[in-house]
Amino acid sequence: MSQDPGRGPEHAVRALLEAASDDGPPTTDLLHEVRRRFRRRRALVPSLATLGVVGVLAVAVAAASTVTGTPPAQARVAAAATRTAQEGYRVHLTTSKSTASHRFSGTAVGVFDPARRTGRLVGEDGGPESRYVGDVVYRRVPARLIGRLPGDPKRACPWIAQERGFPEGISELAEFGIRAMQDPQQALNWVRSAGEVREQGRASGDGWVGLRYSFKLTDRLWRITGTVDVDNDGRVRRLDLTVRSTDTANGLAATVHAAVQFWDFGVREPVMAPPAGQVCRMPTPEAMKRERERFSKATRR
Amino acid sequence: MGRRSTEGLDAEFAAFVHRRARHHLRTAVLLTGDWHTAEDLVQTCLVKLYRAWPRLDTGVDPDSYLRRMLINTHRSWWRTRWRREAPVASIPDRAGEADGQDRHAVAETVRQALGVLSARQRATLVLRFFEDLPEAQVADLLGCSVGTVKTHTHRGIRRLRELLGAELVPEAPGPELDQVVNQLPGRGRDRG
Repeated sequence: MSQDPGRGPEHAVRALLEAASDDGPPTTDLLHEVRRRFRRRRALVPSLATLGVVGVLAVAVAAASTVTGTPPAQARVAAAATRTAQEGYRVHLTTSKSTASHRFSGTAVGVFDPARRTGRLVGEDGGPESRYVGDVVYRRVPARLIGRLPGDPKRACPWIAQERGFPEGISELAEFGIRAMQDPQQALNWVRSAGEVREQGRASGDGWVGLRYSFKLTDRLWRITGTVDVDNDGRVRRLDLTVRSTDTANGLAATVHAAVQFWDFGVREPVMAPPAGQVCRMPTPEAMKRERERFSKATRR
Repeated sequence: MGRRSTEGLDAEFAAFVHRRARHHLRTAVLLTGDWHTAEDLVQTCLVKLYRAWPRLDTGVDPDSYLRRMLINTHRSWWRTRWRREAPVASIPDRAGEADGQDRHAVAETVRQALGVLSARQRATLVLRFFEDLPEAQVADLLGCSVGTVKTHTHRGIRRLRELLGAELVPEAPGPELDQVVNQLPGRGRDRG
């Protein structure tokens, strides 16, 4: 690859580009692969007409991916999360959460209907129940805590309503149990926007086979790493997540592990909000902080 | 254009692939940096070309058509990060000069250097100096001005020089020497 300096940089670049593209595999049968991909695409197109609106997005990604070859891992996972988040499903959730001073663990089963934006999770072994209706999640207060929760010491509400989502400072709300991963729809949203997705190999479960992918997701306060299993129908079957809070400055450092299994796709079960008279709004973190300070002063006296 | 039979079209396409796919694969590996992705890129574009083949006018140069698809598809992949590029901050020790027995190591080193360039700089150098396209055609393919092509060319070469050394990417000769070089017979690039 010696160069004659007298011939200038452009000639040198030409020679370098020649060299850089001259070590390819000698036996690539491009024509065979092109024809195979072309046949696959033609076989897929008629099935598009038979699919409903719900599946269109995921199938469109799959169809496009067929044209462009094996879809990249990130696209496959995003399509699976999108599809799963649009169908009804049952879940089994196992979570554990540890902070500097507390450790919780528990399991729950539930059913979610994304079309109606409803869902229900019930803790196994008599654990707490959560109902998801629209933008609100209603959490049943454990009997031993009724009337003793910060911000609501007297009304003794059996249900607490709060905005569905993932508010900052969630570690302070640990009295209600493990909330960080109690919304599979939120978990699917995370997976959909995850980065650094890598295929890890085969995965399988009861009645399905597919592939496992690893992924990462970070934001200002949280770092989420995990794996997601996608079956051959393009649905999320299992999520294993580790969520770490990096908000050590405010003492909110926590680590949450969650395993979510999805099955019975397309299921629909009605979920109703609790009677209005039994529901209190979740106090704001500021109100809870004031309450704790008041309680702390009272106990020091 | 007269109607051509399916078998005839298929044979034409196959002949084109046999004749030219290797060249476009080489272009693709310079754009993508590795042979696996390059094959994926070329196959993707050939599938599109195969679909369009019956509609292609005989006056259309399939090479140009495929080249444009390679550039656009690669840009689309790059934008969506479907093929994540991981530029390296520095280039590993390059293979020894005149090391004819390790062609792959040399090629890999140069491809890694190309990978450090911006996607636009890389595409510009590949189109200008591997595909031998004039600046106006490169500008058309990349959707920019000729001036921008000149800028990308200049900066791309300069960056390659920083990465690979002035021995491999020398400074431009003085105008007098350049004139002499250009007047020499038989110095044109043999592209086969």
